[in-house]
Amino acid sequence: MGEQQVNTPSLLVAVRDFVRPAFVFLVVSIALIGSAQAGAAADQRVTFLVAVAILGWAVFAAAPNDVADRAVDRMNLGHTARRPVADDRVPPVVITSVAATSAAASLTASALLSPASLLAAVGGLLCAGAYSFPRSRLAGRGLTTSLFLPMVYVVTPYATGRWSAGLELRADDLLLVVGPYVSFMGRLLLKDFRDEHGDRLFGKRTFLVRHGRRTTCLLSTCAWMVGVAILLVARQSWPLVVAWIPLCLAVIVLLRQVSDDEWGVDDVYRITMIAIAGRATLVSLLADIGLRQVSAPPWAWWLTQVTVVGFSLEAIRRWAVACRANPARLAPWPVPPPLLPGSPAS
Amino acid sequence: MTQHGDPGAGRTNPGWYPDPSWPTVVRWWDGKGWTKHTAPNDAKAPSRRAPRSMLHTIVLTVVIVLVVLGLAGVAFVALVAYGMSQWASNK
Repeated sequence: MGEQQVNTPSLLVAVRDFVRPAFVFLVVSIALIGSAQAGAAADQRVTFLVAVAILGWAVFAAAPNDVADRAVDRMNLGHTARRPVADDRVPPVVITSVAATSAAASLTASALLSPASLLAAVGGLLCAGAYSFPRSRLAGRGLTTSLFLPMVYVVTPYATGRWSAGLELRADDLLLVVGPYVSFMGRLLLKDFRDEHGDRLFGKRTFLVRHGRRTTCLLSTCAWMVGVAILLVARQSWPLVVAWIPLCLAVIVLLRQVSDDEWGVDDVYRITMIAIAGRATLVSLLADIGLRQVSAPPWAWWLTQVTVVGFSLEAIRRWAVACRANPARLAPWPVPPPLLPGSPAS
Repeated sequence: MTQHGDPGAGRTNPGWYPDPSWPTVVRWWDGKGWTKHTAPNDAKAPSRRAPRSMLHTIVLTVVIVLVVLGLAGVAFVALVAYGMSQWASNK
């Protein structure tokens, strides 16, 4: 890495790029579901500390992972300028400072919650390090990665939030962990579609590289449905059934389209919409737990359903933007990419 | 090519010198006068701003990370707990 001019604006941009909004939204939502289960849905102090603890953990996880994946990210995300490490925009001292500060913030906030939350945060930080640091490097271990990563992403935030009031577990806690865990395994299988090209070039043994699109989408669909079913068993809530059935149908249709689109032209848009549906699921679950806890009137619950509809509208908006950029996306069948000059079929 | 001024007292040897009328470039002095050949002066001119020290960079990074984490925490409080606490107080 050459010498870089590090000024305040470039540092701000680099720190912003270490905060991955979708990932942060996911893990903080799970943490707040945990704290709501602990009876602290309306506690502003607990909510603040849980959010800082998990956000710090998420930023810490991103920094060493970006260093470990530098070469792959250059291939997969080089054109997006969203990876400060792959783009050589930050010197090592900044990466180290970001990781150390966020880890310290996570530990401090979780320690202020409870010793049990601190235990969960320490475990999460160790797992995040083990995932990316060269000696352990769990990231490139195929099935191990598929099982290990969702567990860390779900258990760490949930335990940090759930144990904010002390080390306590109920029977439905297990279901509230296993449901998102199973669904998240399905989501992570889809992450590999975006990185397929780079993964093949660098020999990363992802499930998609080894088993193909059809099997990956089928497994992802099963994981999503099983996860949602487990959450419904845990909550036994009719409003959730009403909210989640349309989401599940949309996810099934989208995954079918991903499976059939052998060229993968629209993978990014379809998978983004599936991810948005996943976030809507978590928001409605958090609302279901929190609003019941504070005995909110029924119309308040329906207000949260408007939020879920908002997520759907956001997904449609993104799709519309994509279609405007390339009207061929409106075609009901998969559209092959344009042939490059000199390719065998041209 | 002739311009006003010269590279400096005693600088009569041919070489690249800062252009007296255009400081962002260096111009070739052939020993007698300026030629038409120029080059960017960026690499040769000292930076106006002193390089930021490593300690300064670390402190700035720490402050930025803490501010970002704090603001995000406040945002989540505003989005979730504040509304819930209003419901709880209205029970």
